[in-house]
Amino acid sequence: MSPRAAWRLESLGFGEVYDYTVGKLDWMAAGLPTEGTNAGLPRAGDLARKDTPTCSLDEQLGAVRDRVHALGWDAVVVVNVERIVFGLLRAKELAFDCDRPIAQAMRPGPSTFRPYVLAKEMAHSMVEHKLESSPITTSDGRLVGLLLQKDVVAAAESRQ
Amino acid sequence: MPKEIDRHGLRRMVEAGAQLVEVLPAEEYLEEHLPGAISLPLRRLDMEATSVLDKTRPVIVYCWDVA
Amino acid sequence: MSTVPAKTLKCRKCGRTIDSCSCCDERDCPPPTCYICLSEDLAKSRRRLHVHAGASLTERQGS
Repeated sequence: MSPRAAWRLESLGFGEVYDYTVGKLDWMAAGLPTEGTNAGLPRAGDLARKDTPTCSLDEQLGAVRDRVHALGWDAVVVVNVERIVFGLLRAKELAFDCDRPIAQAMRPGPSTFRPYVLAKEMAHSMVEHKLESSPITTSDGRLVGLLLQKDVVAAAESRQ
Repeated sequence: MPKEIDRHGLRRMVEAGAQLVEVLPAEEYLEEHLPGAISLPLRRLDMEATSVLDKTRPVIVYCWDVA
Repeated sequence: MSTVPAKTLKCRKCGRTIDSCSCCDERDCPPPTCYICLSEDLAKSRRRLHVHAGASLTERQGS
């Protein structure tokens, strides 16, 4: 739509026309604010736990497990220094031998969701798929936080 | 020929006074739009663009995505 | 020695063969869903009245 609009505006005599080709989706995927009736609704990015534990590929699984459990979590996201998500360690992976390298223990390339997904949509998906938690990432793969099913379900129910 | 712009360029240009236009249907605009954008659905462009927009200022248009 | 092939996983919506569910990454997910169908499910609540070919979903055929 926007390319046609841009060309048409030029033909109508507008001298300087730009096309933000990647559009609203790109804007929202970057976690930028919007306006409108949906703007105030809770979303995955708002509800994701920003204090989710993370670890790097070169750490030892045993040390990571101890750290994560001490913080009261049972999941940790594997990221690089730019917080780009490489993998996920849930309870099952954290229970592996403590000297297993993170890269071998983790679930590589996990499914993630965008910050702009509405809470009610996330709640439905996470309950249907029995997903206790899911990483939320921006469009460039950067970790926003870990979204917990209990948080998103509570948020979706509170709006009803 | 219209020029493509990314979101960084968009923010700079809007701060400098460019007009930001969403060309999706009005219902979509009402649900969610970029801050400061006005609604001018593609179907109404021909009829309303010259009265709603200022030809002397840059215009940035957008829709949902590249698809 | 017989080899039993791993059960083929299919998206419950479109039927395409998938390695694992795109939502939970599991093979034993009750409603396994491919990436495309998952994206469509998440977008369902957003009313998308425009069709980029130019036609409107509300236009009558032949008008």
